[in-house]
Amino acid sequence: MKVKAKVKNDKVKVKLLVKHPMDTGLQKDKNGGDLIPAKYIQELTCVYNNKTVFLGAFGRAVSKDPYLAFSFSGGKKGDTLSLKWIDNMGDTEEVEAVIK
Amino acid sequence: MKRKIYLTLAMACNMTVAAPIFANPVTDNETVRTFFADVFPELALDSYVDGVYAIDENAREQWLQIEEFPPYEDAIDEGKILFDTPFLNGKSYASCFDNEGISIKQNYPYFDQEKNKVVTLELAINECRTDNGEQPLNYGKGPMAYISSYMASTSSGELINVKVPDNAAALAAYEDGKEFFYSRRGQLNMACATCHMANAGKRLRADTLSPALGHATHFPAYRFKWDDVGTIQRRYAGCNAQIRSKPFKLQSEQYRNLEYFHTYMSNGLPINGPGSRK
Amino acid sequence: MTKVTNLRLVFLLVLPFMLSACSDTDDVSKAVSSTMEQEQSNSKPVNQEIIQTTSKDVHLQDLIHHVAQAKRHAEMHGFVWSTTNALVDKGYAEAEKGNEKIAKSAFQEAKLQFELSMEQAKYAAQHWQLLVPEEY
Repeated sequence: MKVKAKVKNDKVKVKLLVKHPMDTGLQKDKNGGDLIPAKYIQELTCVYNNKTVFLGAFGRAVSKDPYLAFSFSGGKKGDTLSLKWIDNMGDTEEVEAVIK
Repeated sequence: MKRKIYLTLAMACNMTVAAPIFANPVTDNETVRTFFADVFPELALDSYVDGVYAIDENAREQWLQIEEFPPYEDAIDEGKILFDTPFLNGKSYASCFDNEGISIKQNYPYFDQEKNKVVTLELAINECRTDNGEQPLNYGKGPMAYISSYMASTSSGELINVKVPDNAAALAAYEDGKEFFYSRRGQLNMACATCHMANAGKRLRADTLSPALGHATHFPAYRFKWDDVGTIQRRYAGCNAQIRSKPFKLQSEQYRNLEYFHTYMSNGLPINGPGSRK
Repeated sequence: MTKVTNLRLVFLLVLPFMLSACSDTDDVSKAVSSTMEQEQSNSKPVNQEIIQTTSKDVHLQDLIHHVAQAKRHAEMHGFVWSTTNALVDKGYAEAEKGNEKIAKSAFQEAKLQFELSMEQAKYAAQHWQLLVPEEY
């Protein structure tokens, strides 16, 4: 996960790129045989000051390597954001980013 | 039978007469730039390096968003690791190139007067490998593209400086590349120039055609179509396949001469590779 | 019709008879085997037993020979379409299966494409300058 967070006039703009295959489970592999098992993010959250400022309920319709941009108010320069995703297979990734 | 004889004779005559006569790379570039200045009067010369994203506003907006997290970053990192890793014999890529291989992409391709052929960066990379007992790499993608991407990134901002020395062999190679660029081929009977010269800026189905000027500055390129980084000759093969012309082998004489001509066309423009494109 | 056209017409009509008269079954089978050897390197080998050397098959062998020749010319001049080699392969595959009509039509199309690409090569060599922007 690559994250960029910038604050301007009390509004924090967050942009992120998640590296994730987002396999739907409906696609067959290159040899045309077996189905590639489903592996997709189900939930992505952004927490700031112990408050969830963003929650995305993804699904299999979101494409590979999702790009996200959202904003929230009340953030301050130098503070830390925490971003985390969980997928259907139970894998997770958590990343912290500093607001610039 | 008669017609066959005539045809063969005609071909023989054509082949002997088709030798390059008056190759003048400098005037070629002037002509091309004047041509594009007419097609895109508002476009500054340096902007050509962004290709379609310099002429299509909507596409540019999306591209700039994508460039927040450049898709070729991993390729550069991977390329640096490969470049810095020594060969089994202890030597490294740095020993094969000027300035230890850093910031040299703007001088490629060049005409090697001893070997009497055009040398591209990818060719030089593989020659470095084989000279040091390593297996050559696939020319289109994979490690070759990553190493070339890294080397291109070290040349960021440097002005392309391809030289065509005033000798017959080099001029012949340049002219051969020029002829390839302007020759119609494939079942669709199109030349490189058909899309990238005469129709630059116009639409081809859902895409906008990019001008040939500025093409060579941003390769190797990450293409969304490939979901991967690829060399310029990988794109040549792809373009040829798209007009239903059987692609030539990567780093064949045809493609090397084409790259020579094609890169020379962008002389004086800054390297901004690797780039990201559709 | 003029005298020349008349003669040409007669020549064309007589041509197939002349060809079949020149070659008897042994010669054709030898021609086929030598052509086969040439083709081995380029395409899938054809089971020689299937291509029986009867006068009905002479046309297919000639066609294979002409296609191979046209392919060599086109490759020599660097103007080959991406669609053509698949047709040649199809021709051999169908001939192997004994579907002579389909094989012949595939080979005919391939031969035509090689010839067209040769025309393209000739045109390009003479006229590529037309696409170069004019000097001011």
